[in-house]
Amino acid sequence: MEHNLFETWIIDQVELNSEQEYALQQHLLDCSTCQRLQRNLQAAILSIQTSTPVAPEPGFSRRWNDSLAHRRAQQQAKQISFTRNILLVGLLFLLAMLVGYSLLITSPMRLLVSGMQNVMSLVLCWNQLGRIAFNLISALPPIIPLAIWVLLSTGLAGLSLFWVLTLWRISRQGVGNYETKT
Amino acid sequence: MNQAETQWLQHAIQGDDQAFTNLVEHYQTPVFNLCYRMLGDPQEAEDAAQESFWRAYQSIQRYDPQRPFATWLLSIAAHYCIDQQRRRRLPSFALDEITEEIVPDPAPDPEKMVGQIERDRLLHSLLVDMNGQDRAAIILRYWYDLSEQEISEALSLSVSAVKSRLHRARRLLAERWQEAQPASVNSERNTYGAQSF
Repeated sequence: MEHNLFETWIIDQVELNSEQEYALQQHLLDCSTCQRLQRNLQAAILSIQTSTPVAPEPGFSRRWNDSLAHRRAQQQAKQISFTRNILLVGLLFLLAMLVGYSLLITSPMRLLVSGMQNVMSLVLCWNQLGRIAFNLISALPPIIPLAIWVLLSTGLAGLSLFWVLTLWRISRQGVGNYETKT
Repeated sequence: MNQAETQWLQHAIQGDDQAFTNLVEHYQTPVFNLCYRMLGDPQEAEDAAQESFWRAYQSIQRYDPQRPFATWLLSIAAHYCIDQQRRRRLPSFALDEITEEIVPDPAPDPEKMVGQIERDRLLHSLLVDMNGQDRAAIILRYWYDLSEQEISEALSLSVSAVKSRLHRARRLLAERWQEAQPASVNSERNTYGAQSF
């Protein structure tokens, strides 16, 4: 048989039948290269298997606990930064598309005039809405009983407080942790 | 895995930090040892082990309970160390670091310490020239007694790729062992080599 085959048997540490084992032993008697290979490989593997596992310095789990809060904060900051960047990129893209489209269909001067008109209309609209709301508030009290007003304003105040508290908790603990705890 | 470990694992999956800390306490040595053998530096091994536990902590919801937890954890550590190793070459050992890390004996015997350091240097010299995946395969095979199938799962390789990596790594181990032996030992063994079989 070829030398390479015996070499492969030695390196791969394959299980041999009695006939193959005999052939290998016969080859080893004549081949010093294979003898050396087998001896060195067995010794190297034995040295690995008998070596002591290396332990970390004492306090590994305490260091883990200490780093956990820091890692969480880092992850949360990364999440916030990622979301903000995505929103910003989306917004810029949308703006660029709008500006591009507008420039395609009209001249810059007309666009400017049209923009000014839109801003003016928005301001006027806002003023009108304010007036409508004021008139409504002035007209409603005689129609709706006082008790319902009190209930409505208390409910709204409660909801606002709950909303602010929730935002505060999420900003303090992070989304993942908040969801786990609730 | 014993009863306590199973409970820690279940609680850790449900988000219990203390249970996960218990798992860290329990598995710190195998994970650190793997990182140390892969990276060859105690400080880097500490950082790698901490990072491996953090990655495990983040993805524990995706852990498949059918799989042994130790293998899953070692797989995370091995992948991280392979990535780290790709980024840099293995540094040389500092003697004082080895003494401090490897011999935790409170009253160490100097002779024992020197022997331990020498053995560790020898192990390091055996692994130093292997690439990351070959080294991980050898470490998982001979330090952790994992089968070729388990190694293939841990390193995300096919079984035949693991076999081929182990073959290459074993050949290199034999060569490095030969080089690490004093010349007199080699010549003596070569002369009488046949009798040892």
